[in-house]
Amino acid sequence: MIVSKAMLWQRQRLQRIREWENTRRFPDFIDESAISGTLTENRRPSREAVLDIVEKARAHATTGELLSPAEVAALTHVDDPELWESIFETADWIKQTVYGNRIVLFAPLYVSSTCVNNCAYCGFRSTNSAVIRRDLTIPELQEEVRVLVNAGHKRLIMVYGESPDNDYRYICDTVAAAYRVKDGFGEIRRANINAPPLSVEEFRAVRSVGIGTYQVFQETYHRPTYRAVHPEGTLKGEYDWRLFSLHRAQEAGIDDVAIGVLFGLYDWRFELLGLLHHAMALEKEFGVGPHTISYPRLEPATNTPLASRSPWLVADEDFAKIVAIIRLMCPYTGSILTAREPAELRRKVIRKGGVSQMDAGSRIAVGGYGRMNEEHQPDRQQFLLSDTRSLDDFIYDLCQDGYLPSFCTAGYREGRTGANFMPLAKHATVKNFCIANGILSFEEYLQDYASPRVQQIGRQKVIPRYLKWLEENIPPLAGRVQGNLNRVREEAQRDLHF
Amino acid sequence: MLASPITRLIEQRCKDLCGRLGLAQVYVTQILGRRRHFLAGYGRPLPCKPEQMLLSPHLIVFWQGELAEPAREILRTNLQNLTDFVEQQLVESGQGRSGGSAPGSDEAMWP
Repeated sequence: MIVSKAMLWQRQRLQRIREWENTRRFPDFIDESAISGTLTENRRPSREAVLDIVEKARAHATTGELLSPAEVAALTHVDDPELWESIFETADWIKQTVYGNRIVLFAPLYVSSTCVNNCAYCGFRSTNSAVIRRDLTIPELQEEVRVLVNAGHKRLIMVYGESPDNDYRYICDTVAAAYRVKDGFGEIRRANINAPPLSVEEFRAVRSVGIGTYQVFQETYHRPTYRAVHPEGTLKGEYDWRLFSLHRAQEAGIDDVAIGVLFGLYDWRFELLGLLHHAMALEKEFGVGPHTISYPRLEPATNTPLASRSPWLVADEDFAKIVAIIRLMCPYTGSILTAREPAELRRKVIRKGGVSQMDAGSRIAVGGYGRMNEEHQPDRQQFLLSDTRSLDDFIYDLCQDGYLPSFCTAGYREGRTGANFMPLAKHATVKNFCIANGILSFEEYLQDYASPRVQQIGRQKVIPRYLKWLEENIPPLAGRVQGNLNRVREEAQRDLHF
Repeated sequence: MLASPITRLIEQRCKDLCGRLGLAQVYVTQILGRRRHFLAGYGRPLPCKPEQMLLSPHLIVFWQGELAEPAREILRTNLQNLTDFVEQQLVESGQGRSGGSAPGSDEAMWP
């Protein structure tokens, strides 16, 4: 009965998707032979050419311009370790210039894992009987959210499968339910979405509940690979439907959209150019580029051999290069490094790659936060996590490394969205808000959730350091932040932001 | 999404208000749950919290710069006719709905 309902739903939806694809009005922006040609033509860049590109990327930090495909292709072929040090140093410099030295924190919340798709690399694929799939009920979801807000989280990325039971209505209902949770000072202030592609009207409905960013990852921009890992006849098998999903989101008025690739399915150099062309297409069509870029790597998953034996698996060394090139090619975008990666590697790549957002204390099983003492629940997860540090331990490490941990969610509540956000990021003035709001939101964490050792390092080192930065760079704002800090500390006021 | 002529009208009105009231930035947003969704505006933000005023059930104007109480009324009245029009459009297109379950059959979602 359930199977036939899912099959019928999938069949009807597939028919509509193909009708949309046949009448699509947006031009294709992934020309595989052109990308391959660009990579070939730029496979031996001179040292001088690379240094010129690096210099150009620095200049773009305050204009928001993208590097060209040829320039990105050249960077992917650098093999001189000394030049790589220059690229890594520049990635960090660009990130500091645009966003300041803060790391925005979030938690993934896997809401549903029922899925009609059968993607070869995914533990949640429909034919994988070794993994238990389920959709959270509203009370279950709110219990998960309660665990997260009581750890100190304010920002979620809510993750959904694709099935008739978790369609756009379910997304609307669950996002609204997450926002309704209040527990003491605990609440979710921004819920981002990672969900399947929708129609314009469905996107419009999801927009109405006040989401943050809508993420759809193409997984791979290489059509033959896409076809090989996403079987024909499934919803996800429709490459163009997915490729233009964020165009439809923009048409529906969702103006903060996020792109990504699952690295390890195909050549990482090709995928980087795919991301660049996607960013260029969004800018050209809507004047607003990707709010964030994600770069998950293929990870082992239960009963999923491809995840471990793909010929395109990305080595740690290349992974750091990917993250750094993304920062140079698209200076204004948020760069998301997740707990898929091991703690030691994350610690290195934050700096080398100019990372701006990270998750911590994550569980990726549906209902996983209710079983917080189990780091891994392989029979309920899409893949296996590597960094299982608690949020508080992760924050301590960030503090030790000199970063400002931030729970800021101010921008989209003050109307700094889409075309109003982009100039701030492109002209590198967004850091003024980032540092001020980072200080205030971190102080809330110190007051309400932090361990004694985090309170100590936070109050003695981190907050004074970033207040000093404000005093030196924007004295009037420093005074206002100090005033608000006092209100957080002495009057127990919360959610003071700029 | 608003039609671009309306967006341009809002931009122009915000530009006029920036000049007339000496503001750094004026912009109009739509209320979508917690989100204040940027519709259109003019100017560049200062590094401080923008002030805001409810214009209609689904619209809020934000501004950056000093604005005394009488001047706020100028801001409101200058945006009022545009605001009424946009509000009506949002309600008619179903975009006035916010913060709850989305109605509609599957067919309605695929026009």
